[in-house]
Amino acid sequence: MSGKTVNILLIEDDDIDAEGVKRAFKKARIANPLLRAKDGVEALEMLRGENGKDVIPIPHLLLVDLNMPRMDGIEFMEELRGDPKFNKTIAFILTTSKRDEDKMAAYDLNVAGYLVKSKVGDGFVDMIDMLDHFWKIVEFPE
Amino acid sequence: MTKTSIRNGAPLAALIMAVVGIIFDYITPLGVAAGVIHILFVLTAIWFRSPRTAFFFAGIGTVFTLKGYLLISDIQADTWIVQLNRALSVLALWVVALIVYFQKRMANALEQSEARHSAFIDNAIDGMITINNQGIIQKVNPACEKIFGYVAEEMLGQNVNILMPEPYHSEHNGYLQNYRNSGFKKIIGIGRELEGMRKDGSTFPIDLSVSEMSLKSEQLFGGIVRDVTARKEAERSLNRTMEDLKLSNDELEKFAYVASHDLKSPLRGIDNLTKWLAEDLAEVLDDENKDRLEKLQGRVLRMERLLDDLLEYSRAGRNLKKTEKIKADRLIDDVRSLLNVPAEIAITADESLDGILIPRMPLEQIFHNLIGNAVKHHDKEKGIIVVSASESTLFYEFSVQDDGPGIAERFQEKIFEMFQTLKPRDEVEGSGMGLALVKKIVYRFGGRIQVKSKEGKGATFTFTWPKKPKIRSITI
Repeated sequence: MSGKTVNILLIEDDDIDAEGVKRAFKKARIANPLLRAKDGVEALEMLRGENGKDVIPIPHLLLVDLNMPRMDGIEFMEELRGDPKFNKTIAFILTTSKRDEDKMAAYDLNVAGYLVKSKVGDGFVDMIDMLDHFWKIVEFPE
Repeated sequence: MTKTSIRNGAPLAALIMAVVGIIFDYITPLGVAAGVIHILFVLTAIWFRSPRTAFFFAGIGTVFTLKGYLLISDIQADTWIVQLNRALSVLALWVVALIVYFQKRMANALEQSEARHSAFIDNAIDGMITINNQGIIQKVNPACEKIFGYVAEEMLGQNVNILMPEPYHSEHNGYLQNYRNSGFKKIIGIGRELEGMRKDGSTFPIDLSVSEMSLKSEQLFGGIVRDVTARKEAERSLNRTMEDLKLSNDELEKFAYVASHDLKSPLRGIDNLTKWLAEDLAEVLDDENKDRLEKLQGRVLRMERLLDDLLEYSRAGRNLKKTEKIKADRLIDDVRSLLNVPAEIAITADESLDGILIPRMPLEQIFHNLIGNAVKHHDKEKGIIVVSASESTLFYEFSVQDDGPGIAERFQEKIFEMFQTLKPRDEVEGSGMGLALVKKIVYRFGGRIQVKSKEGKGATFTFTWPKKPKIRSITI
């Protein structure tokens, strides 16, 4: 990849799950900046630098929960894909939902992958492993 | 004149005829006319109840005829003519008696069958109505009075549509005309559920069947009417109850699903936090507190298992229509490998299982629980669990027999209830949902389950499984 550090934005309303991801990153000694938004609305503000928030520099990678207050994951992805600035952004869904409907809706919005929390290894280990490889190998959109 | 008044006059008529015959015999020396009068006497037997009266009267007539011959000596004719005359009279008497006898018997039989018919019709619970092809009521039975609230005379001669509410009231003449013109049958020959109307204008549900009767030149229709108000009411109330039951069952299942699903997410949080505490504090905590944290995680795990089982219970028997069939002995092998059975316990698939094909799901679930229980609760050094089967026309019957501790009789029903365990969960880990789940599945597919056991002497769980399962929407 281009050598720039990938910024990770975790969009997750559950504090414990957010901490779990943070711990997993720490444990795996991944130094990439990890930012967190509590729902879709906050995430959009952070991406666009609205409401007094700093813009997150590209390249970035999103980890999106589905069930969230105010704006849920699917609504957020629709909004994101409708914005020419972010329609190529790499986003993974990270959710507890195993429902096929959710899966289809997510892939319709061109997510890079759909991850179920109970299947990403104890303490998100497998997910971290996958992501660590992902940004080493995959070329990100400019 | 009615039949009974004729009957009452009959003896008098017979007596008069007999007396007139004798007198006539005296005043007509030749005895010619006397024979004729005696025939009239025999004919009166037709008014008597018993057909044999004819023979009795013929006997009396014969005696009278012979008596006339013997008593009247002053005869002005040749003896052979008189004798022939008398003999012919006697023959005529007996021939007439024979004819009267048979006629009388036929009439009696007819009368009896008619009486039976009318008794049947008069005492029927269903209303019976006869109409002509113009729809005019010809005959009604007493049940009609009760059903429609009219007395018979009010109905006779009226158009049958007075017994129907709209739209049938207006359309009925049209139906009849259609049938007369084109032979199109709306209801004739078929039974239907319709509405009837009482004299007071109230309507009620009826079962009506109409048949056509062709009597010589007349075309008649017979209708049988049954008031089905009570049945309809019962049907409605049954349907309501079924709906309510189904609704409450659906809601219960939905609730169990949502509850177990939603309760799991905070639980996962607790699990994570405990794990992190244990990790981060590993060096600071003393053994006692480490043990507490371990117990905390153990409880979380148990709660998760309870919720999983509750979830499984709420979904038991759903979406299992498309499942592969598997040989029963293979299924037992699979369950054995899934269960992690200690080497000291042998699980045997009996020969009787050979050749039986069963759906993998949900039978795997059932055997997993039954065999799993037998393993989990086994209290001796060595053990044998035998799975066997028998077959009847409609059902398979499977048994899981163990030589474990057995179940005391007073608990044998309780074990099938939800969340019931016979040992503290700290001794034998379990949610107490296994047998409840098994029972629910078996019932849902139309089978039954029971346990036979004596304390200390092992237990045998037996359940039936229909060869063609019909999934019930409502389970107990």
